[in-house]
Amino acid sequence: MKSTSAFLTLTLAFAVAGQLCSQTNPACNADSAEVEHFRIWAFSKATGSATNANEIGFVRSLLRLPPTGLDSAEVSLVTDEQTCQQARNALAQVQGTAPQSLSLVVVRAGAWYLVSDPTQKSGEWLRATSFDSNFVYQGGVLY
Amino acid sequence: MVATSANVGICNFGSSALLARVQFSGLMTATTSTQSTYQTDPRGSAFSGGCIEGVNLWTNAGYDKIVPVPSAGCPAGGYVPGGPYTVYANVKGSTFAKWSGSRTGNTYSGSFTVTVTRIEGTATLTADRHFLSTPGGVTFRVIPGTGPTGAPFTVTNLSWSWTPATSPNPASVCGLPLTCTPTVASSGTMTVAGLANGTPFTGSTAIVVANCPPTGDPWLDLIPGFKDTLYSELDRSNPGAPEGSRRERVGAWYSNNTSGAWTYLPIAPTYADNCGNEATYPSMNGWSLEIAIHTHPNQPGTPVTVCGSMLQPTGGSYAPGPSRQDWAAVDTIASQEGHPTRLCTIGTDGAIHCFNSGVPGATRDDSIDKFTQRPEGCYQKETAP
Repeated sequence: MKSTSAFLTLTLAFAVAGQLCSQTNPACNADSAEVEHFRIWAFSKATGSATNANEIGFVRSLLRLPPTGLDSAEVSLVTDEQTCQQARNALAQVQGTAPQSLSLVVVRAGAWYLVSDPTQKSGEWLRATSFDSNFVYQGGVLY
Repeated sequence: MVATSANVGICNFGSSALLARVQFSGLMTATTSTQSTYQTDPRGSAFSGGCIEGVNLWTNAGYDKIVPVPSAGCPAGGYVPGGPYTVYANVKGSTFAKWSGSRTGNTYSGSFTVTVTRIEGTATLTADRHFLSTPGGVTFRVIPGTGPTGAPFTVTNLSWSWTPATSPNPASVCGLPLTCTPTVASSGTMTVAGLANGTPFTGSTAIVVANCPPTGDPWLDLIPGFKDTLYSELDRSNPGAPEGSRRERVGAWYSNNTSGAWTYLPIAPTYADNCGNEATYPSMNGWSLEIAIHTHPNQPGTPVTVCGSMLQPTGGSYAPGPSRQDWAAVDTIASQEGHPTRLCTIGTDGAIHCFNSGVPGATRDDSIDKFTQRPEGCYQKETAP
């Protein structure tokens, strides 16, 4: 009786662990506040639509975006999981981390992708990274 | 032969207590009534747990009696080991050494030397700000140096003088306190002179009053000391130090609900490093928190190599302006206060960024007002080209 009880406990423990391991981290981040914040941030940097133009230009240079602002119609939030998956594979390679640990907000800006994982904080800062249309790393900045 | 005791004149140290190094050396031989002898250094020998023999230093000011007890104390019934030794003591007045060989029946021979040397004192002059955009108060402080005992030197005979840049004639200000807080109306130099542990010292520091034109921003222009406070807080963040030694500084401006007066409250964060802080902004009865401020002691664009324990992943550089957490913080403060609030940051490049909290139910105003510092130190609002 005693050994049967021990066996059952062990089985349950494995079952719980198996359930945790099977959870997946969506490639497209679903935190609406974070999505909206990065969308607005990326939009202002990509289009240059702000009064502090010198500063925008500085950030654009760090992200290796073209010096002139894009048309607002060229900037949009990416919501399809496949593109987010490509972006996080690319970011994971840059960072040397596992893709599954990342969940990104992705903004398409002309021929560039601007991506950020709102769960990865460096102090009070988040990181924005830019890729070209082939997901080749271009630049990054803490914002 | 010294029968029981003897005085040795030394010198007069004046009326102020001065830290001095007291060095004893020499050797004495004691001969007891039974003709047995023993040798001792100037600290003498012990008896019943106390030092009843040895050289003592006295002052006629009654200020300090320097008993040369070894650090381990006098061993009961034993002898103090021989050899020269040094103590530090405050002395003043006419100071003399006295051999206190008072054990009944003993006689003494030998010689000793007592050297008393005043420690050279130091002091420095500091100012809490060196640039004022408009006339205002500046706090000057004399910071005494520390002596070999770790205690600060006594500073006396202070005299402060202010020399305007437009005049060669200094004017006496403040008097004797270590702190001087005059209202500075124009650029000039503050000079202080005095004695630190009896050593003469002087110090001077220049203050620039730029009489800046208005920026057009009501907070920057109308709150007395707003820009200067930000700049001072940046200074205290150690922006020029290695990354690991920089600390964000936090504070808040409150307006009085009745009088409309402004007051600034520095806030001690529960945690701060070069790239973040965790702070609680206190509510004050009768006052409204209007503007939260903090520093970003990093140069935008320079690589980040240290970020507390939270750099994920390594590398990269800062964008100028507010962080993601700053946007969240201003909304948290607004929710706590029950009214819209503003948050301003200042970076190592001197640029000030200000933005507002969101208003529930309305589209958020995501614009940021940026103010850059011109070469003469004045701020101007950056405008669209």
